[in-house]
Formats: sequence, structure tokens, C-alpha cells
Amino acid sequence: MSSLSDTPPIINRKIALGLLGLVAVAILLLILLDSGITGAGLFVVGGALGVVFFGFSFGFASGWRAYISGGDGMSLAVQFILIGLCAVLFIPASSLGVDAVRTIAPISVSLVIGSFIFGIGMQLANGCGSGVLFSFGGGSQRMVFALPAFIIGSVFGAWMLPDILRWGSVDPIIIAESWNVWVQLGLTLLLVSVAIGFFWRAGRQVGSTLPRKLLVATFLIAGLCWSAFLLAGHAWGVTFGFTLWGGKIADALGVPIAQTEFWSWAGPARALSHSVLADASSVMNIGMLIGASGWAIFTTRFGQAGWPPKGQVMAAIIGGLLMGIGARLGFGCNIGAFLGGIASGSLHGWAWFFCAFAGSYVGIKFRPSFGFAPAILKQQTGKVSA
Amino acid sequence: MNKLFSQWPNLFFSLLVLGFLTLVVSDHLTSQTLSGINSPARASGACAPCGAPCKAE
Repeated sequence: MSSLSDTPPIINRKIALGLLGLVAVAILLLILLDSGITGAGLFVVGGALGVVFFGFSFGFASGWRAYISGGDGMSLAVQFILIGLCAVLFIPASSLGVDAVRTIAPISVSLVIGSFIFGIGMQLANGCGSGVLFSFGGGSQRMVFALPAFIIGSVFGAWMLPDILRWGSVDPIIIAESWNVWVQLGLTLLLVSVAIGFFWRAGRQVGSTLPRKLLVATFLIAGLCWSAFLLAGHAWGVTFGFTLWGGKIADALGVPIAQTEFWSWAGPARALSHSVLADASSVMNIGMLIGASGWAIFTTRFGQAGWPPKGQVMAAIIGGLLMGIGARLGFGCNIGAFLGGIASGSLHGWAWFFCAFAGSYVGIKFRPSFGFAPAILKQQTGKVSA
Repeated sequence: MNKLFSQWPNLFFSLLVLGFLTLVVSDHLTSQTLSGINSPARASGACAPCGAPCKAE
């Protein structure tokens, strides 16, 4: 398969950008009808996140792999810096007069199973929830397989979740809940600082340095996460949008999905019966796709990754399915559970991190079976190889 | 044909964008109207971002 640079493009770059701009405006107008200025704001924030994630190649999965494979924890340190910056707003929000809820979730058997298989999936698919999304927007052929598989997996995950929750579950635990929000914030920042120190030290030991570019991206993403939190009234989440898209497609195909327990819960039921453009997660996801596409076309990086080998296509499908199921059972992905959960001071965020980390370790062990190189260089820290 | 094949990301993604837009518009036209943004995390009794209820309820 030849790359785009080999032949003159059939679709001119300016025309492609113009068409994408028209699509963005059309969707923006529909969002204004469905969810007003707030929805439009979230769409713009999602678009900006797509530009930043794609432009700076900010990935979660590759950073975890860099540590597990080569001991380079610098990218993980950056991820915890992002979490710390978000926690500064998320935890004391109620005391600051912000009408928003923190990302909480039960500590359950489903969380352990879900986050573990999500960790496997994100290493096989070469990207987590946000990674799949912005890489797909950037024209990644690999994600053409991973994203639909993710959506299908999350529909199955939603179907399985109520039963697996009955296997054992404890209601959400906020760290230092009996204390005021400032103590909760202090404790979370202390734990996050320990993690930053640990992974930064590991990075230094293998000769890695903190990439300034990645740090700039972190502050930009934190600002956009703050904006999403203030607009939506909760932390940014990616995977519910996928579940809703899959649920709506299944519903349209005549699958009696609305009668299942998950879709009878108040939030999902309301989402299923209303437009996707009234769902915060979907609106941001669509914005992210368009933002990443626009930036990829503008910088002539669209579809440059090339066609993946057959084994890696299989890995993308399996990884997507595992992430979809895992995201529902584990209450989110790296964004909704890891970032949102820890930054909200919820214990489930830490549990998700440790279980997904164990899953990533297993996923990395399986990668060579699908034709991936057995190890990655430390210089790849923070870069998405999708 | 070869040229079309070598340019497939552009064409494929263009078709995908078109298909996606069609789905979004048809969903918009066939769904109930809602004057605001919807988030299952903010639904009453939600104990998780997906809207899962608390065990105590």
C-alpha cells in the first residue's frame, strides 16, 4: 500500500478542510437546537482536545507501555501531573460554588475485571478511549477496526454490567470523605505527587527527560478538562458516548435494547430516547473527531500511518472489543475512570489504575503474537504509534 | 483504480463522515427534544459516570 505522499491527492487539502468545516458547522447548528449553548461549548472544547491530542501526540497507552517495557515512567509522570491539575478544580468544586458532580463509581468485582481487560485491550489496539478517537480522526487505518469494535464491545459491556455488579459491589468511596474538601484535595495531591515522583525517578534512571512539548500539552489539556467540567457539570468522559452510539444503532436494527436493565436506568434511558447531540460525551467525542481530522488534514498528517499488517488488524479488533466491554464494566477509560476518578478523589480511580496497569502488562506480553515489536525505545515516550 | 485504492483513506473517510452525518441528522430528527445537555452521571440516583445506581437504592 502506497502512502498518500506517493500520489497526487484526489481530494484537495483545501476542499477537504472546507467540507469538514461545513460538516462541523452543520453539526454545531444541530447541537444548538438539541442542547443549546452548553452543548455547543462542549463541542468546541472537544474539537480543541482533538487538535491538542493529535497535534502533540498525547497518548496514554504508549506511556504505560514505555514504563512496563523499558522502565521509562516520564510519560506516566506527565499523566499524573494532568490528574493533579484537574483535581485542583474537581474536588473543591462544590465549595467554590460550581454546579458540578465529581466522578465517583462503586468499588466492585466488575471494576476489577473491567479495568484489567481494558488494560489488555488498550495495548493490543495501540490506544485507549481518547487515543482510538483522535487517531481515528487523524485517518488511522488501524482505528477503522478498533473504533467499531470498541462500540460493539461497549454495547455488550452495558448488557453485562448489571449482572456483574451483583457479584459484589461497595458504594463509591471518596478518599477522606469525613473531612472537608480541602483535606480531600490535599490528600489526593499528596498521593498524586508520590506517583509523579515515582514515575519521574524511574524515567530519570533510564536517562529520560521531561519533554517540554508534552508538558505544554498537559497544561492545555488540563485547561480544556476544566472547561468541560464547568460546562457539563461533570468530568470529561469518552466511553459512554460509544455505548450510546452502539445502543442507538442496535435499537434502530430492532434489537430490544431499551428493555435491558442498563438502558432502564434513568441516565442511559434518557440518553437513548434523546438525540446523541444532547449527550455530553457524544458531543465532545464528535468534536474531538472533527478537531483531530481538521488538524491532521491541515498539517498533511492525515492517514500517514499506513495500512497495518493483518496481525495488527486482528489485535485492533480484539483490543477494541476488550476495551469496549472493559470500559463499561470498569466505569470508564483512562479519561473517565483514571483521570476523572482520581482527580475527583474517588478510590475507584486508583483501583482502576492498578488493575488496568496489570492488564497492560499482560497485553504487552501478547503484542509480539500479533506482529508488534517486542519492546519499544524509551525515546517513544508519550508518542502514539497508532 | 490503482489511484483510487492508493488514496483510500481520503475516500473512505469522506464516505464515513458523510454516513456519520446522515446518522446524526436522522437521529436528531427522530429523537425527543431536550432543552439541555444530558449526562447519565447527573441523573438522579447515579453512582457511576454511566448512571449505574447505588447499591443502597
